[in-house]
Amino acid sequence: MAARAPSLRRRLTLLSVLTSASTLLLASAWFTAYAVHAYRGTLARHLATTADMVAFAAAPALEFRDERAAGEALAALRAEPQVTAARIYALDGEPFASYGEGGDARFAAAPPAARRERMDFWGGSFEVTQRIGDGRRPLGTLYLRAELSALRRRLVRYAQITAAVVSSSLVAALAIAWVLQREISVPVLALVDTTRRVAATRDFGVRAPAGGGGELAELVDGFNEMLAQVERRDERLRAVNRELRQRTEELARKNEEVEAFVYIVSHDLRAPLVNLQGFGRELRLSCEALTTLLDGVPLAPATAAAVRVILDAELPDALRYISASTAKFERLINALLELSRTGRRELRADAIDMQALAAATVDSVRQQIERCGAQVVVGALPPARGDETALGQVLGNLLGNALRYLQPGRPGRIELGGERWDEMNRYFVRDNGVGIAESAQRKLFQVFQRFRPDLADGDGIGLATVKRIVERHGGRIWAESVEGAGATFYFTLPSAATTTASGGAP
Amino acid sequence: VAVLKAPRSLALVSLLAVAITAGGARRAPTEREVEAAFLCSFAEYVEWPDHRPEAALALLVLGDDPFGALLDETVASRPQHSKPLDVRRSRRLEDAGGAQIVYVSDSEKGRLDEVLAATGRASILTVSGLPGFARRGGVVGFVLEQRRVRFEINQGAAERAGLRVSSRLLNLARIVETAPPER
Repeated sequence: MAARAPSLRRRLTLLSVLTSASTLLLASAWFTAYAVHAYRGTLARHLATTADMVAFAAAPALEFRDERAAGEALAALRAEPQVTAARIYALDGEPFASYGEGGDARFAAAPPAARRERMDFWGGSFEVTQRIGDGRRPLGTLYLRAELSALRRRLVRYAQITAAVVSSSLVAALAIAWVLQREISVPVLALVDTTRRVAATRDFGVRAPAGGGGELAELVDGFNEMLAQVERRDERLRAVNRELRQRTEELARKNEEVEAFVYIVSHDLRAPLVNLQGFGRELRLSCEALTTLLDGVPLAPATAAAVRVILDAELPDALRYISASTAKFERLINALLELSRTGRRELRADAIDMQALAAATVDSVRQQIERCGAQVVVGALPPARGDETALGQVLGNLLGNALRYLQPGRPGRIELGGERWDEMNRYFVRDNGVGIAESAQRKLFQVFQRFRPDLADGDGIGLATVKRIVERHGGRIWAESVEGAGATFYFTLPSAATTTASGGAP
Repeated sequence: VAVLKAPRSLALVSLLAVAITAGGARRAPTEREVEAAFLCSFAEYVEWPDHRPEAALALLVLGDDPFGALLDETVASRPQHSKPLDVRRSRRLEDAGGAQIVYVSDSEKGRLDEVLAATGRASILTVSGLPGFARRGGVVGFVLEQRRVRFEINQGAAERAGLRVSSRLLNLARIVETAPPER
C-alpha cells in the first residue's frame, strides 16, 4: 500500500501547500506594494513639510543675500538623515546656497520653480522642488533630494520577513495538509486496495472499510453495495450455469438415446428387409422354375392361358413391386443410418481446399451433368476448416439437389462459390431450377420432408444430413429462392485460418 | 571606448565654456545696488500700525539722492506680489511725515539729530548708510561687513516708532541699542 500511496497523498498535500503558498505570496506582494506606496506617501508629505519649513526660513536669507543665514536654514536638514542634498536657487536660477551633496555640479542648473515631487525608485532617490517665497512673492527655488536607502532597507526587511513567514507557513501547511489529506486519501486508498483485491482474487465477498464522511462514505457504501450486487449476481449466474450444464448433459444423453434408437431401429429393420429381399429373389426363381416346368405340361387351352397370365404378367409384376419397395426401403434405412452416423461420427478439423473439393464433387457427377445438359461453374471457394468427407457430402448433396430440381426445358446453370463472411466463410450453390415455394422453405431441412416428388425421387433425409454436418462445424445453412427462378443454398464454415476445432454438440 | 569618450569630454568642455561665459557676464552687484534692493525688501518684513496693506507705501529719499534711476529700476524689478512702493525724493524734512520709509541720505549727516527727532515719534522706518545710524536712534543702518552690505536694526527705535519688525528680518540683522552720543 505504501508503494503506491504517494500519488494521491502527494497530490492532495501539494494542492494544499500550493494554495497556501500562492495565497501567502500574493498577500505579501500586495502588502509590500502597499508598504512602498504608503512609504512614498509618507515620505512625500514629510519632505514637503520639511521643504516648506526650510523654504520659509531661507526666504529672508535669500532676499537679503545672506548666505550664512541660508546655510543655517539648510542646516536644519541635518535632522533629516535621508536628505542628502539640498540647494537654494535665486529667482534668476543662480545657485545661492547648498547643503550636503547639493554643491555638486549636477545640481548647478535650477529646477523648475513649480512645486514638484519625483520618485526615482530604481535610481534610489526622491526629489522635491519647492518654491521659496513670502506668501505669494516668489524669491527662489529650493531643491531637496532624499535617498531611498531607508525604503530599500525596509523592503529588504519585508522580503526577509516574507521569506521567513512563507517558509515557516509552508512547513506548517505541509504538516497540516499531510495530516488533513488522510481524511480523504485513507478511505480512497482503502477503496483502491479493495478493488485490487477483488480483481486479483475474484472474491466479491470482500468489503471496503467504511471511512471518511459525506460523499466519500457514500462512495464506499455505493462500492460495497455494488460488490454485494455483483456477488449476488455471480452466485445466481453460477447456479444458472450449473443448471444449464445439467440440462445440456441431459439433452446430450437424450440425443444419444435418440441416435441409438434410430440406429437400432434401422439396424433391426434391416434383418426382415434382407429376408424380404432374399425370399423375393427365391420367389422369382421359383416362378421361373415353375414356368419352365409348366412348358412341358399339356393343359387345357383356357387353363394354359390363365396360367400364362399369372406366370408371365401378374407374378412378375408383383415381384417387381416387392423388389422396388424393398430397394426403396433399403435406401431409406441406409440414409437413416447415415444421418445417425453423421450425428455420432467424430469430425476432423483439417484445412480443406474447398475449391478442389468442389471440383472433385462436380467430377463425380459428371455423367449426371451431361445427361441434364447443365452447365456447372466452380468459382473461388476459400479454404475452410473441417472434415473432408463430411464437407464432400454437403457439396455432393447440394449439387445433387440442384441437378435434380432443374427446370425442365430450360438450360440448367449451377454455380458454386464462396467468400469471407464476418469471421467465417460463406459458400453457396446456386441454380436456376424450379426454386422452392415460400411455404416450404421453413421445413426444408427437416427429416422426411420432400418437395416436388413429381420431379425427383429422394428420401427427404439429404438436407437434414447436410444441416447436421454444417451445424456440427459451427456453421449455419439457409436457402434463398424465388419460386420458378432458382434457389441458392448458403452455408457458412470456419475459415481455414481458424484454429479452433469445430464439431460442437450434435 | 575612446570613441565613446570623445563626445562626453566634448560636452564637458562646452559645459565649462558656458559656465565661464555665464560667470563672466554676471558681475557682482555694486554696494549701491544692494542697498537699493534691501531698501525695497525691508517693506516686506515690517508692519506699520496705521497703514492699509493694499495702499502703496511711500518711500522717501531725504536729501541728495545717491541712487538716481537705480532705485526706480529696483522697485520695478522686484518679485511679483511685492508690496507697492511709491518712491519720493525731497530735501525738506517736513515731507518725511507722509512717508512710511525714509532713506536718510549721506547729505543729511549734519542735521541727523534733527531728522531723527522729526521721524522718531512717527511710524516711520528710517534707513540710512550713515555710520552708526541705528545706534543714534535710526531703525535700520547699513554697514559693510567684509565688503558685503549687512544691516543693523535698533529694535528699541522700531518699537518706539510703533513698527512691527519680523523676527525673520531680525535674525539677519545685527541688533543694536540706542547709545548716548559719543560727544
